[in-house]
Amino acid sequence: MNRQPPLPPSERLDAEERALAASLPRVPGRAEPGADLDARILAAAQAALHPQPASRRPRRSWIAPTAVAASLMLALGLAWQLRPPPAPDAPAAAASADSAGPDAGGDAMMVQAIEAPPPPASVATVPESAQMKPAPPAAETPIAAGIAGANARQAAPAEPQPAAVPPPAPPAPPAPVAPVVADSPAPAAMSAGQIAAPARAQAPMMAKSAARSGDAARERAADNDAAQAQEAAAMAADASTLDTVAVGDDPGEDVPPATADSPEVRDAWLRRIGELLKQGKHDDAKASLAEFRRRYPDASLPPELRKLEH
Amino acid sequence: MDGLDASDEALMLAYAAGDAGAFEQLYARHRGKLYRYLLRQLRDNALADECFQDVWQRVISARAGWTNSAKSADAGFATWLYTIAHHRLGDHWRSLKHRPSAPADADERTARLADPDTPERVLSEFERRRQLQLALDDLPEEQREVLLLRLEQELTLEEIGDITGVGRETVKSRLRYAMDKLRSRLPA
Repeated sequence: MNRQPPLPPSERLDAEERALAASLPRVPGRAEPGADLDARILAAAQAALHPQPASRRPRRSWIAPTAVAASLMLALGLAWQLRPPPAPDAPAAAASADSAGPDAGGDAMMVQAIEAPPPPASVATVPESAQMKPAPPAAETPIAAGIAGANARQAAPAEPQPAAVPPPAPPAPPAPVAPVVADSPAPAAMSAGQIAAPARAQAPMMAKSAARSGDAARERAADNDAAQAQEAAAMAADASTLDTVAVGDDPGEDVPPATADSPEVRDAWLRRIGELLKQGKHDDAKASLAEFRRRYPDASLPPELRKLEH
Repeated sequence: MDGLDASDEALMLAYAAGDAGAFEQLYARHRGKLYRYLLRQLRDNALADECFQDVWQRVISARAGWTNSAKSADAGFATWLYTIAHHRLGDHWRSLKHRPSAPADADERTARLADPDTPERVLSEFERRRQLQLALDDLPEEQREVLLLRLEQELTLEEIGDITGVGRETVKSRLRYAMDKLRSRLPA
């Protein structure tokens, strides 16, 4: 029955083994497996060749797409969190985003929400040509330039890239939250550096939210125009003052204090009054000191300023 | 597949490839011998049935793996089959923690036998078989298994070594001790 190869002569049963094998007693009980046992084994062998289809297949069908979607969400979230910080020249990026056209990205909306005051009613009537004029400081920051460029390509492909020919830089936008400026009634006493400092401090936030939507970009462009006109008028009126004040500007004061009532603010204010005195601008120094006293009635003054107060 | 001339290994390969008929032929070849091998060790039909079914179930489950292992180890199907049976018996003995007990009808059979010391006794074939059975029962488990694989299955010493997991010389030694004990129990 077994088709195994025959044993070599040395491995065949010898005479004694063969006699013993012939004398082996019959096994006790039934010497063969029962018919039911045969049937069970053969049925198991047959069933093993035809496995039942998995009944959980519908349950598994959603696992893979869900896992892929979850992985994508996780990857996008990580990429958003780990994206490089914007460069400090974010106002330029914002301005370049403004120039991207009416369909520019939504970050510009955030820029306006953060820094821009509500546009005047007249701004809404600014002609389209004025709104679409190229924003000057575009592409000073590579990231911002990339964002603005991409937005511009998507929104207004016919428009030439303003970054290729940089126009003259516009004046800095009005700084709404500078502590010294907010409390000081003497804008002429403020240096150009102090005016620009809050704007530079806001640069990361502005760059983060550059180029949001087309409407926002239009309003922003109109706002820029209005602000530019106001700044030009103010500069024309106070040209001499600004020129002289800019000489004594201290670069160390570019960083705004944490709060308007902090001692650093008072010290900076008093230093500024001292500088005005040194420059011979007694009237300005006096006006500024009066405002300082009104703001901080209990503050102690240095001796040279005490004389000026009386 | 034509099972009349096919080897065990070819039948097993055919079954692994999906030929249920090949398994039926393979089963028909080995069912009797394997069952008697188990029954001689266990001496109980219910236990033999249980182990017999387990052994074949393992053959069925391992059909795909056997293809590769058989090719690499150049082992025959019968050797592999009895190796599974040997392990199954080992599991059984370990679960019992003692040597196999005497058969249920041992006392009855002994009572029916005449006293072997009576001078008028004539050794019959039945008496000879009874003595052989007693001698087999007295053998240690390892020696009895080797002896049965050799006498009943006519396997080579190497195949028995493969099945029991020992070397050829160990098989040879166990077989020699078992034969000596049987000779000493049997009349000349």
